[in-house]
Formats: sequence, structure tokens, C-alpha cells
Amino acid sequence: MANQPWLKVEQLRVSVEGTEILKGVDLEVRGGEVHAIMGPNGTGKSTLASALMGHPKYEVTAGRAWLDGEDLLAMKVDERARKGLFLAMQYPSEVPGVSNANFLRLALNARRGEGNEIPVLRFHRELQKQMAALEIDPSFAERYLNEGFSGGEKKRNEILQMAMLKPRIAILDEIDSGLDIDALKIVAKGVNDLRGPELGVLIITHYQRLLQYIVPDRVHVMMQGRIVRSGGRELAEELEAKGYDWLKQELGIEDHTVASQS
Amino acid sequence: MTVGQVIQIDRAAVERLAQERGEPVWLRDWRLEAWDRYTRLPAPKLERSDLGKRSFEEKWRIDADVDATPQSGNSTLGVAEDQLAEPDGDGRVEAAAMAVFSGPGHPHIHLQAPLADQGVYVADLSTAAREREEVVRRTLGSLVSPEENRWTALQSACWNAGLFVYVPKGVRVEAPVLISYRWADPQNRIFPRVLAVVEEGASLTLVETWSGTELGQEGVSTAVVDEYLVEANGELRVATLQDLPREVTGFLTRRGRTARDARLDWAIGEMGEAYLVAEYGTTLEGPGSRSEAKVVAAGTGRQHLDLTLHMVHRGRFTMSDILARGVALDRSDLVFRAVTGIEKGAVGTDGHQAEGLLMLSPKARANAIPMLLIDENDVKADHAASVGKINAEQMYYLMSRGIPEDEAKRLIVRGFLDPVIDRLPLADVKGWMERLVERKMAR
Repeated sequence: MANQPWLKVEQLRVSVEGTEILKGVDLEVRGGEVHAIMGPNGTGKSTLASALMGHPKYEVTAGRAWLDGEDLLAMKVDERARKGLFLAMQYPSEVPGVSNANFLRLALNARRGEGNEIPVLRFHRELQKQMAALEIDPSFAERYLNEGFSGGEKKRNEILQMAMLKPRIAILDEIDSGLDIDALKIVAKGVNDLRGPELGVLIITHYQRLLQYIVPDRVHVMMQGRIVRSGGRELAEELEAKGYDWLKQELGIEDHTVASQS
Repeated sequence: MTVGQVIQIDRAAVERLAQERGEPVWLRDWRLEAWDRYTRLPAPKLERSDLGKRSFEEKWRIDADVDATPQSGNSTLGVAEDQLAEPDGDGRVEAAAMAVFSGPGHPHIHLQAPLADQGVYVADLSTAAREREEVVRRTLGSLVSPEENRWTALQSACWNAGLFVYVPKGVRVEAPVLISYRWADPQNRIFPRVLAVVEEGASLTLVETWSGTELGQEGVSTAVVDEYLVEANGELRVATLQDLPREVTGFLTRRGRTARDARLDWAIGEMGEAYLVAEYGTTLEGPGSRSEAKVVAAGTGRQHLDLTLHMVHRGRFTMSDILARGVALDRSDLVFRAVTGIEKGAVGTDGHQAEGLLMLSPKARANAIPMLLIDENDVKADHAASVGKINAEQMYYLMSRGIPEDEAKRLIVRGFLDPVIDRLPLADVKGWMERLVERKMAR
């Protein structure tokens, strides 16, 4: 399908401040699919997310990545977003003085392109609808972006942005961390509501818990900066039952973190 | 209008100035005494600004022939049209009074008739010195003494665009009094001086706008003195919006004094590209009086702004609050000095200040210098100052949602300035500042 979202990553190597974190990652996510990247802390999962979004601290030293066949790594951060890449961040920034609604409208209009701006009323209707679905208090529209939001509120706000911006490929980086079970369910429902052929999802988590609510089509395990095992959703269940040690033994890995390999 | 020959100023020129403006003898003598002071006083030494390098005094010239007739033009409030919002849509600004200075001489003044009936008085300062001799004579120079330094002396001798605003006891003037200065011609040198007296229980809002265009290679120097006296229970809001071009070198002193339970609030917008040394200050003389200052500055080009905010607590249970935010772009250089002084005996006072500066360019410079000078024990005082660069994580976050770099930067700057702009007292002033910030950021 020509119009199906498509993210492809090939032999991606990424360094942070001179230390290599990713050591050759291959991945392919298409519209309609939900992929999960699992793995213990310190294995490079979030680095993959940040590098794909283009965070300036993450230096791609080798490999390639494409979004819908276009060279992703050649694009600036804002361009990647406008082309349909979205990253729900683990630690979203607070931007005082910029209201949530104003920010979202600017972002949405940037994504829609000049001449195709969303009418203000329609924007607010849509915003209210999405906020209600995510059980976000309407007052948050006028609050400053993430300022003074609790951890859970920030995560919901990330999903709200995703719902509004309708990306083609969404990466959710530890969207479950710091959430209680009720908030987790709301966030998961928010993601599930967006699932469809127009969206490919990459979930990064180190708990299997989230995957009970957002059931993935494919599961990848990352260790030492590489994807060491891929499988169907049953792989997540197996990890939940047996832990990571089983896999480490099987692969002959003693220390799963990136540092051990450098 | 007479086109005068521009000359370097001397004692005879000061005398002629007073004469041509039809000033009473006492004011002429006051000017001449100030001139004599000027010739004796040394130039003030400024820590971070060297006006000497800008040939400040060499460029200090006045027109030999001062036109004392009102400028032509009808009585519309035309000058402010492009500067202030247009609430009723036809280009007119809701104002109690308007004074326009586009050169030396007498301003064009328009005052609403009902206010005049209530005893509100707005006039050229030279005229007021005749018509309201008692109050002008008593108050002129009472807050900014000609003896204070070489430049206040020079200004006192040579001011040529003066305004006196008087609000009698108990009268509340709702709409602002607009004062507009336009530097539009290098031959027209404006040295503004404002004296405002707000009597007991009275209320006034003053809005001063400063703008200018193409002033030639040589540049123009100016010095400004404003004095505001707020009597018991009186209220004065002063908004100054400066948008002068880089050719201007200026030395500004604006001070107010509050009597018992009076209030003086400042809204200061420094948005031009001029080389300015400016001091704004309130002396909280009367017990229970208050003063707040909100400052927004945006430096572009090679702007140099050396800004001091000075709150002097003299009365008991007085309160002051300074909130200042500045952004430095290009090669601009911003110095924010905030001084909270609490004198012995000013028990129960409360002084706050917070300054924040954001550097947006590697060549911009910004300095925040907070000072608390406290000579009394039973007081509250605090300060917060920060100078920083634009936050890379915030930029990344906004851009990761598709917002282009320039717009993301603009958003962050707006967000940074918003806490001040948002608290500005007048919608027109707020709008004006917002537009100037937008314009500066869009360059």
C-alpha cells in the first residue's frame, strides 16, 4: 500500500557524548502494527527513540532510517514531526508562558501546512473531545505546557498531543512509567483508540504490564544496544513469566547494559 | 514652524530658550543655575556604560530659535494611532488627554473638556510655570535635583519638551493621559521633561510612548527627567514604551514619590535599539504606600540598555515589587540593576524583586545585578535573579511537535516575557508590547 505509514531502521549506531549506545539496530514498523521494544534499563531503548526523533545530543554514527521511504536522518526535528513522526516523551519539557492549547494549535497547523490551518472553533471542539476521552480536566487547555503537571498528567498530555496531531508513526517512550493502574488504563485506551491502518506504533517499555492493555503485534528485546530477540506477543508473556535472566543465559549475556560492550 | 539653526548649547542659549518659551523669571534662573552646576559637575561614572564614548555631550545641541506656537494639525489623536490599539476601530484612542511632541517647542495638547471642568490640568511645562506657579515651583526638581549629577543638571537647564499634569484632590481620571514623543528629524532635538502631581485620593494613568525614525549618521543625544508626586491615598500608573532607533544616545531619570497609603505602579517597555542609561525609582515616603514595577526589555542590534530600578523604603509598612524580564538578541547588551533599599525606621516593609534575562544569541550580553540595601531589622525582603540561554530541551520538545525552530524560539521568548506582559495594567499597553516583541523576534 502506497499510503501505508512505514518506518525502517537499518544498522543504526548512535553515540551520546562520545559513548556508543546503539550498536546496529534494525527495525521496521508499518501502519496498523504495534511493536514493543522491551528490555531492562540501560540497554539503549530510549536512545533509539530520541535518536529517531532527532534529539541534538544523540549522534547517529552509522546506519540509516526512513520514514515513508524518505531519509529520516537528513531531516531536522520539526521536519520529522511534520512528516508524521511522533515521540511521546519519557520526560516532557515544561514550557512556562505557553498555553497547552496555543501550543497544540501551532503544532497542528505546522503539521497541516500553510493554507490548510484548522479553523479555531473546530480545533477547540476537537481538543475538548480528545481531552474528555483522556479524562483530562478542561482547565488544562489554558494551563502552561506541562508546567506543574504531575507525572501522570504529563503522560496523558503526551497522548493528547498524539491524538490531536494524528502522526503516521508514534513512538511511546516509557509512557507507563510513574502511572498508577487507573491512569495506565486511560493512557492505554487513548492509544488503542488511535490504532488503525493509518498509524504505526512503537512502544518502549521495560514492564510487560503496559502490554496487557496495549497488545503488541511484535515484540523486540533490546540488550547491549542491539535487538537480541524478536517475536510475537507471546514473547512478552514469556518474559513476564521468566524474567530477562532466562534470555540472557540463552544468549550468553552476562551484563545486559550498553556499557559492558564498549 | 521656524526652522532654527542648530547650535552647540551655551549659557546664552539656555537664557534664550527660557525667554522664547515665555517662562517666568524664576524658571529662567532655575535653568541658569542648573547650567552653572552643569559646568562644574563631573560626569557620573557608570559602571557598565560609557556615554563619553558615544560623544554624548558633543551631540547635545538645541535649536537656537524655538518655535513657541502650537504645531499645526487638527485635534485628532493621530500620533498614537500606529502605536496603541484601536478600541473603537476608527483609529482613535480612548484617552483623557494627549500631548504630542515631535520637536522642540510646545506640544499639541488635547484634553477632554469634562476633565478640565473637574480641575484636571495638562499643559506645556513652561506655560504651567506661569499659570500654576506655586505647585510647579514647589515640585520641579524635587525628586531629581539639578545638583544630582552633570547630566541631570544639563537636562534641567535645557529641557525643551515639557509637560505638567495635575490631578486635583479626589478626582479619578479613568482613561490614560498619553504623552507621545517622536524623534523624526535629526534637527529636532527633544529633551523631554514631565512633572505630574496627583493630589490626595486622586487617580491617574500616564502612558509615554517614544518612537523615532532615521536620525542620520551623526546621531542624537537626549536626556530625560520625569518626576511624579503621588499624594496621600493617590494612585498613579506610569507606562513607558520606548522604541527609539540606534542613533539615539540617552540618559533617563524617572522618579516618583508616594505619600501615605499612595500607590505608584510602573510598566516599562524598553524595546528600541538606542544606547540608553535609564533609572526608574520610587521613594516610598509615606507609611503604607506601595509601588510595583513591571519591566520588559528586548535588545536587538547593538542596543545597549543600562537599566536601574530603585525602590527606596522610607515609610513604615511600605511595599515594593519589581518584576523584570529581558531578552538579548543579536549583539545587544542588557544590564538590569534592581535595588531595594530599606532605610532605618521603615519597619514592617516588604520588598520583592525578581529579574530574569535570556540571551538568544552568542554575541548578546546580559547582566542582572540585584541589590538589597537594608538598614532596618523588622522587614521582609527577597530577590531572585537569573541569566541564561534558551533551554535546548524546550526547543527540542516544541520542534518535536513540528513547530519550526524560529517559531519555537519565539514561543519560548513569549512565554518567558508573558508573566510580565500578562500583568500589565492596560490592554493597549499590553497589545503594544506584544506587537513590539513579535516584531523584534521576527527580524
